[in-house]
Amino acid sequence: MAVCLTAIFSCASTIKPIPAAKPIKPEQQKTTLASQAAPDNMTDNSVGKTYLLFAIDSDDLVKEVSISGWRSLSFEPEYNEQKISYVLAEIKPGDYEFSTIETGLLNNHLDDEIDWSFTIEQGKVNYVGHLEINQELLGGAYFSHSKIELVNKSSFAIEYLQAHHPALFTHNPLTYQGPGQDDFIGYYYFLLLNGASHE
Amino acid sequence: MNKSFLAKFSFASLIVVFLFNCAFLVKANDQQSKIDRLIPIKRLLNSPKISQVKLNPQGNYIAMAGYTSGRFNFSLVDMEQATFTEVINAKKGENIFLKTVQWIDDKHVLLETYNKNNYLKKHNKWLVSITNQQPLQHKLTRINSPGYVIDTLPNEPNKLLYSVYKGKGSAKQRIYKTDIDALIRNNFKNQEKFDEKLSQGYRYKTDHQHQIRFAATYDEDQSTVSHWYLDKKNDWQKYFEHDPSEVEFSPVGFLPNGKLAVITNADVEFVSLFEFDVEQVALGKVLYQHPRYDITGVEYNKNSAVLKSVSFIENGEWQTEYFAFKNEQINQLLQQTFEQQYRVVSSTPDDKVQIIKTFSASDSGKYYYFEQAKKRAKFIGNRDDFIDNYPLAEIESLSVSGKEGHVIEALLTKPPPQFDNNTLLVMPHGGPIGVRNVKNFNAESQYFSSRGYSVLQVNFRGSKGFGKGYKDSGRGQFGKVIEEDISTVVESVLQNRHFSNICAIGASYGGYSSVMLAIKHPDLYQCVIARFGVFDLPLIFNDRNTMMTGDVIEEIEKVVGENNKQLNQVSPVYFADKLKAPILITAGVKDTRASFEHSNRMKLVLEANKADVEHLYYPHSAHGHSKYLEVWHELAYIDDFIRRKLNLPLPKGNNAKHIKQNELELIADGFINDNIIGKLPEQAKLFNARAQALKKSNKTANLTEK
Repeated sequence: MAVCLTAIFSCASTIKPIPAAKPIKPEQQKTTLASQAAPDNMTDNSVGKTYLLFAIDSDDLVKEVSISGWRSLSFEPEYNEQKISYVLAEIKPGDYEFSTIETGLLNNHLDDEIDWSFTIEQGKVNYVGHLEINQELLGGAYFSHSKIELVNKSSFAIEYLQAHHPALFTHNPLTYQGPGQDDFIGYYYFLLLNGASHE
Repeated sequence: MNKSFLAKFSFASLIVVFLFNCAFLVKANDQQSKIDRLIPIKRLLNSPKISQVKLNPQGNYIAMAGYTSGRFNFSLVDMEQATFTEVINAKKGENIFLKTVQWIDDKHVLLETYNKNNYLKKHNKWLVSITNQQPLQHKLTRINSPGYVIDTLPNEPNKLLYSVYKGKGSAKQRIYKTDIDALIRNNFKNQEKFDEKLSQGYRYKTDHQHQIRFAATYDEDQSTVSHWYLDKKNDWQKYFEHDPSEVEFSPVGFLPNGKLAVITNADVEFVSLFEFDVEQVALGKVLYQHPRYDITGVEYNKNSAVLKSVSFIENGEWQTEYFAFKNEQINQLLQQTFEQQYRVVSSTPDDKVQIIKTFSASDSGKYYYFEQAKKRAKFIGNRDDFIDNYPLAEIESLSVSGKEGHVIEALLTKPPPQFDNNTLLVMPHGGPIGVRNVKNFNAESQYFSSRGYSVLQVNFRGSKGFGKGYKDSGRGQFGKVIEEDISTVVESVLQNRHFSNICAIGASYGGYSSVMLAIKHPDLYQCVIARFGVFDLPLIFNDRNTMMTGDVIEEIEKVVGENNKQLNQVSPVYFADKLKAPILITAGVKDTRASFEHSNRMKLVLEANKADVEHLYYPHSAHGHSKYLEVWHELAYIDDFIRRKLNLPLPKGNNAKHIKQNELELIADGFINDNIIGKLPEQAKLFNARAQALKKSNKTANLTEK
């Protein structure tokens, strides 16, 4: 999926999205970190850079996702037949939060009482969650509403990076930076670094 | 309830007659061949032929709903003429399901249906009006007033109390004493409006004089339910407030002494029947308390304001005790006649005519029309049409001493001996708090037993029905005393019988528990099937931002325990290397209760460990399946998985090859059919090849036999 991630304010620079490389078949994927440096779209200078990773999971048309923070951002996904689209983009470190999501019918301002924030850490691939968007269409925009949640699907983020950006997965540590505390990704790296006990 | 007095009497059995002709009876030669016949999965797990039977107040008609080949149908039966009139017969693919059936008076029945195909109008109400009695003629009308019947007002012809919802939320709720025509027209303009509505009230109920007297409110912030009654001055008085996850409370009805009968376990160990003084706002004397079990229900005659019976579940079986001698006599008569568990599912207001449903572990149910005066029961029909055609499993109740001196009840479903493959499936239930296994017909257990497996289900600490202390002792015990109880029972079973193989299988908490059992006892379990499970306990607190509120976390903590680092020590994701048995993980992609992420984490770490892991992810399923297509696929795959991992031969039975071939084809279809799993043609090819090979060997075998 190609995404257009642009800065709202003129002072901010445009952030270029990173297209997914052709997936590596599961049987070709390795289960140790040392052997994961397969070629992908990342160049050598990706080491040490900072990335945002999230996914949009929806059957509905999503026109725009806005992120507020020290630098406000928005992006407009291109039409995509896939239900789940991953968005990987280089981003400046700092504190951000999802603010509005515009679907085909509605411009949804996200509920202030719910935590939509995330912190982007330097030199890492910062996975912040899957945005699950379900729109209930009940006789036009007035009666319709969207149920939007930010869901921690770290294992799927791992699988995505392993399949499409294996070098990035190896060299720039993936970390969960969405709402709540979760150590799973760190544990998974530990498992890969220490080899599989069944071997 | 003087049992010794009752024991002096002996009661003859009822006369049991058949309502219709005997076409449903199994022929003698079929009886012989059924002994070795495995039940096809699509017959066993399907919508029931009869799902509801309701008597009209006079007791001369029954409203009967059910499904034929999965298609909803609804009929009226004239019990005096023994004639059957079809009212609704859904077309193929219409996907209509019944929610409720209720007689309003002797000539009107209200139905509520659910239409899966109609996105905008899923919930529908229908009124069936009897327009002529002989021959029976009827009219079917759609009811467009969303709401529910509070009381059918039997003493006021053509009137009922109806609660109407206009728009979302109870704020727009209206209550009317309405005539049926106004309900049909959805126009209540000239009807009598009930003005004493309770703010945010719901669950309105009437007393024995059919006056609105009870309601409840829910406090979202505190997660508490408040119970209210309308006093003589027409003021609503709050008489009880409770957190339903901790204390049970439900009003039954006013007694002749003016006290309210309530079911509660407030301040006592077991859910019991009490008097409640609404004026003093205090619990009164105990009307019934069982020494070991929570009561599960109370029969109360609203017209006479008299308590009839209490029920509880003992060793997995439904038991009823009666307050009046006359009712106990009838109970003994029914018990001697049917020799099964039974329940009264519908009754005339004077109780003279009743619909009785008998059931057991090996019988999903039989319906009878019982006339007390004639001591006669007319057989109406089986809940399911396969019951008389295949051998089904019986369940043995077990009672084992736990390590803390407590009693653990368990159920062992034993396959028909001719099918036994000497393999035990240990099947922990879900929950784990407030759920239990009972000795009723369980289609999934019957499927596994039909394929030769024994199934062990344990009511471990945390289970419902054994008192508050027993339930609470399972809280925060994931991977601890719960699995200790299960293992205690497994040990006891193995002292009496040897099994060649043991696997752990369960759904939801049972999926988690199955993995933990196999990790704790690697030499005992040879395979694991973890369905819709949780495997990373801290994730339960963190998996979606909309659920990270204080009250939700508090509710989770009541079951899982505090969210701290120690949870990792009982989260199998973090020690998956200790799992030595092959495992099948099944999950629903839309599952938000045991979030889909749990299953994928477990799969990912097992793959990293190069463990023997297979997985089935159902894209349209949530915390369980919504279609039988998915259920059949999953269960057939599970049986195949166990056979492959344990090197078991084909199931036994004279139709076993045919059954297995069908199930392999069914599995293959699931891998290409997008309504099931889809998009896995390579998997489909493998299973189709196996089905074809079996088909070929079947033909060869037949030739040889000739």
